[in-house]
Amino acid sequence: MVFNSVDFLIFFPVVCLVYFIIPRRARNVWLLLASYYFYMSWNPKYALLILASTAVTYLSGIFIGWAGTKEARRARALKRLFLVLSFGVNLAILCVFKYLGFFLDTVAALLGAVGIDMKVPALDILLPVGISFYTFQALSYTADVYAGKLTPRRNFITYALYVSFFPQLVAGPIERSDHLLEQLERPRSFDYLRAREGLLRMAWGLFQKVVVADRAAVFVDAVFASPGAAPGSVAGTAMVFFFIQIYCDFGGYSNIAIGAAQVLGVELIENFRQPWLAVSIRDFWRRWHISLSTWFRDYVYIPLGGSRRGKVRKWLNTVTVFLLSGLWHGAQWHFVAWGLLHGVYQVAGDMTDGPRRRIRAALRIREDGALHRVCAVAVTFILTTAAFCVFRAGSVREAALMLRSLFTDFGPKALLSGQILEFGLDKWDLAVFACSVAALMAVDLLNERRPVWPLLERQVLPVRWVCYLALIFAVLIFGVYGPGYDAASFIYFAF
Amino acid sequence: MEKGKSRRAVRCIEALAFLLIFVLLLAFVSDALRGRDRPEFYSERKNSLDVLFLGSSHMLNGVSPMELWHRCGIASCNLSENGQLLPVTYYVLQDALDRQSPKLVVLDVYKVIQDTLYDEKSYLHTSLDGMPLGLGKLRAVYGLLPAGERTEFLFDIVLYHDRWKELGSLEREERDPDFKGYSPLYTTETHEGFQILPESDTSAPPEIPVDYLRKIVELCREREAELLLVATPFTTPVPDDMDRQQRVNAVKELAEQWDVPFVNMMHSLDEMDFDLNEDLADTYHANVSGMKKITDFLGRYISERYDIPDRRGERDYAAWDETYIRYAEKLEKLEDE
Repeated sequence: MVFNSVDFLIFFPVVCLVYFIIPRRARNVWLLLASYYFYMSWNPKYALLILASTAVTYLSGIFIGWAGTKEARRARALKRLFLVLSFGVNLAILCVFKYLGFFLDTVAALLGAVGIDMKVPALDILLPVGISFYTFQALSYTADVYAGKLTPRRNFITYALYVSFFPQLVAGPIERSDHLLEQLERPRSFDYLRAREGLLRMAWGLFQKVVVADRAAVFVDAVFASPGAAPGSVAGTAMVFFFIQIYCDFGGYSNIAIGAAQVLGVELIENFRQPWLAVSIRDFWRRWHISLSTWFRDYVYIPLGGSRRGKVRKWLNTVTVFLLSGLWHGAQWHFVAWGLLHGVYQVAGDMTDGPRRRIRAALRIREDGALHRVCAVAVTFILTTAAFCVFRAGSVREAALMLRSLFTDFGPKALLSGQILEFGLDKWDLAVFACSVAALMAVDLLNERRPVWPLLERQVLPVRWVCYLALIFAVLIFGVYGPGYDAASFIYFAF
Repeated sequence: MEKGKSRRAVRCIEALAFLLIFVLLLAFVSDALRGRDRPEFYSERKNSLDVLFLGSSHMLNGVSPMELWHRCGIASCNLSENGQLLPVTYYVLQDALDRQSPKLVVLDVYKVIQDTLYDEKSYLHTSLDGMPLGLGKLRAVYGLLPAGERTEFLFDIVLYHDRWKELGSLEREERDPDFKGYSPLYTTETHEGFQILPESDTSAPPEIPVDYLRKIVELCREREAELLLVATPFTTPVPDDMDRQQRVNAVKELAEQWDVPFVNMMHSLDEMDFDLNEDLADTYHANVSGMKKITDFLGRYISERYDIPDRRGERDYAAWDETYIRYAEKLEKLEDE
C-alpha cells in the first residue's frame, strides 16, 4: 500500500480514529498491528524479515546491557561481540536480499574477463520494500546502546513499533532511537491544531508526488529511454526535470510520512530542506535525504575517524561513505558511480577551498554576498543535476551518452520548434508543470526563512480554507494518477 | 472546563463545515469533468414518465421518445446504452424505478446472447456514470464489479480528472438531452440475401443473461410496472453468428414461461415495412429511417394494448412540445452534416 493509493486513503483515517478512541495503554499495540498490516500488504512473508531484524536488534540491546554489568575488559569484549553479531545478521539479511544478485553478476563478469565461465544461478529474490530503511533504523538502536547513548529497552511492543512505525517504514525518514523510540514511549493525545498541520503537510507531499514528480517522470522516462537520441537542449531539460522529479518524489513521500506521524502525535526528523538552494555539495548533503546522510556520518564516517586523522584520511573516509551511500541506493554500478561522483565532488571542493578563498579575497567578493550565493547555488545545481543523470540512467554508459549529448545541438531550436512536446507532455501538461514548480519554489523560498506550515495555520479561516481546497483540488485534478482516461475508448460510436 | 468544551464544539463544526464544502466542490468538479450526465432522465420531474426503454445499442438507435411523443403523446425516455448487457440493465432499471413509476418498461433482449456481467469497462462507464451517486449506483457497482475496480465508478474523478485539458473545447461527449436518450445514425448498409431463421429455430441462451432477465421480470412485478420484451431487427456479419438469432428466438419460450409479452421484430418486418437494405445503418443498428419504423410500430403496439395516457395538451407537459420542435430541427440538421 503506497501513500498515493485509495487503500491508504481508507487505511489512514481508520487507523487514526481507532488510535484516538482506544485507551492510551493499547495505542502502541494498535499502531504495531496497523504497521504490520501496512507492510504485509506488499507481501505477508516480508513481515518475517522485519520481525527477525527487530528481534535481533532488540536482543542485542538486552545483551549489551547485560554485558555492561561484567568487569570492564570482559564487558568491552562482550559488548563488541553483540554489536558485531547484530550488525552481521542484519547486514547479512540486507546483502542476501538486496546485493546477492549484484555480487554474483559482478564476480561472473570479472571471471569472464579473465576467461573463466561462471554460471550465475537465476535468483528469485524480490527486494523487500523498505528493507534498507528499517535495517538502518534498527541498527542505529544497537549502535546507540553500544555507545551508551541509550539504555537497553525491555518493552518489545514499543521497540517493534519503533522499527516498523508505518509512516516512515518503507521510505524514511530513517529515525534514531533516541528521537522516535522515546516519543513512542510517552503517552500521546489528540491535538486538533497539530493534526490539522499534519494533514496539510500530507496534502503538500501528495501534491509534490502526484502533480510534480509523476508528471516530470513522463518526460524523463521518455528521454532517458533512448539516451543520446534527443537533442542536447531536450536532454538537459530532462536532467533538470529529473532533479525536480526525484526531489518531489522522495521529498513528497517524506512530507506525507512526517505529516501522517504528526497527526498521530509523533514528530519525525526533517528529511529535505530545499536542496536546490544548496551553495555547495557539502551543503547539499545537509539538505538532501538528511536522515540518511546523518546516519552515515554518525555510524560510518565518525567511527572511521572522520576528519580527525589528517586530510588524506578524511578524503578517504568521505569517498568511502559516499560509495556506501551509492550502494545503499541500489545494487547497480551506476548508483555506485553516483556515490563516487559525490565523494569526488566533496574532495575536490575541499582541495580547492584554499585557492578559491584567495581568489575571492583578491577579487573582493564577499562569500555571503548575493552574487556569490547565486553563482554557488547555480554551480551546485549543475553538479548535482549531472550526478543525478548518472543516478537515473540505466547504466554508466547510458549516463555518458546522455551527458555527451549535451554538447551536441544544445541550441534552443528544439525547445522552440515544438520538438519538446514529443516526449509525453503536451503544452497543457508543461503549463501545469511550470505553475506547480513555481508554487514549489515559492513554498521552498518561504520555508528557507521559516517553516511555512505553522505560518499558514496562523492565517484567518477563509485564507486557510482557500489554500487547503486549492491544494486538494490541484492534486485531484492535475495529479497524474488513476486508470488513465482514454478518450478514444469513450467516444460514442456504435458497436 | 466550559471553555474547553465550547472550543471543542467550534472545532467540530469547523471540521464538518470544511468537509461539507469539500464534498460539494468534489461533486461539482466531478460533474464538470465527467460531461456524461443524463439530465433528460435524472433531472426529469418525479413520476412524470409513463414508459421507459432500456437495453443495448439496438434500442439506443432504434427508439426515439420524441417521435413517440409526436405520434402518440406518450411521455417516455430511452435509457439504453451501447454495449449494455442485461445485468447492467437490471441495475439501471432498479435505480430508474426508484425515481420514476412508469406504467410500462420496454426491454431490448438482444444481449441475451452474451454470458458476462458487463462488456468493456468503457461501456459500463457510459451506462453508470450518468447515474447520481446514491443507493442505486452503490447496488450496481457492488453487484457488477469486483473489489479493487469500484473506485473509478464511485468516484469517477479518478478517471476523468485528465479531462481538464478538454474543458472549453468542443469535443465533449455530452448527449443532447432534447433527444431523450435516443442516438441517431444516418448511414445505410444493405444486407442482400440475409437469411432470417424461422421463429422455431432456437438455441438456449447462456445462464447469466437469463438469470438477470428473470430478475428484471420479478423487479417489474414488484414495482407494478408492466414489462414488454422486444428484439429490434438486426443482421449478423457472418453465418457463424446465426446462433444470435437462435438465442433471441429462444426468448419467446422464456417469456411464455414468465407470462410476459415478447415482440420479436425479426418476424414482423413486413408488418413494419422494415427493409434490411434501407433501414439499417450497419450490421446491427437501425438508421433514422429504421428508427421511425420501429418507433411507429412500438407506438401502435403500446397504444393498442396498454392504458398509457396521451399527455399532449396537458399543462405539465407543455415543454415536451417545444422539445419536439428542437429535436426535429436538430435531427434534420445532423442529417445534413
